[in-house]
Amino acid sequence: MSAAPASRLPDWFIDIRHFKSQEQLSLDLTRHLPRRIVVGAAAVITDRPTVLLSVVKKRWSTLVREVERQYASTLQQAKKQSLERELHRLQSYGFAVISKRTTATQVLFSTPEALAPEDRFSTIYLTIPLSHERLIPLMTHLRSGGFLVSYIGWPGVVDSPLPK
Amino acid sequence: MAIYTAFPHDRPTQQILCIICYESVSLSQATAGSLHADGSQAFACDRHFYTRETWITAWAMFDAEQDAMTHEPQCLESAV
Repeated sequence: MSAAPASRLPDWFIDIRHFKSQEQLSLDLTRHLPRRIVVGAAAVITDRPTVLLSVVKKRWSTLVREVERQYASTLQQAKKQSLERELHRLQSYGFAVISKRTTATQVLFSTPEALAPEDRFSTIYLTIPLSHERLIPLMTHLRSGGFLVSYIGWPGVVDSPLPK
Repeated sequence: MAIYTAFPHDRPTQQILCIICYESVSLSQATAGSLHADGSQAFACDRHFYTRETWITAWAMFDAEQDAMTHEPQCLESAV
């Protein structure tokens, strides 16, 4: 069975991801991001954008080293070429908080309210609980067929605090 | 993990094809990746997500293949 054709894509996908600590959240996010930036710009919604950006950037460097290691250890030409291409991609992406964003920014770390009205993303990572009233405006920034990746359970439902 | 399709219907049991092992799995057991050359969403089984080497290499190869498919007609056109 193949994936649904593009014309039959739902309005959005909601991916509820589970984690046990803030460390696991940033690890999951850093592994998930490379696949989604290929599709288009991504936003990471957090109440501490600068802190999370710093953590993700560190993890990103580790990821790049891992791909370099895989590249160096493979002898298969096709695999080597794919990994080389992956390396260039990973090293080319721009990460920023709202105040330092440029036209080269593909991953934006922000609070929900700081996004510009015209901002549109293929993926929005939600790392903080948002009330329904704060979630609805955020969803206007998600492109059709895009992913809301939630680390806080079902979005719009505020209940238990996040794990430390 | 669980992926839902939002509005009008939630379809967590919808079957998708994993681009890594080619097995059919439900959305609730999948992780989203990039797109197929035809613009449709590509997925892989969640279980591969935690196997770092497989995850990176398989998606890198998938993206390279899809890009080649996307650019193929243009290359042929320019050759003509």
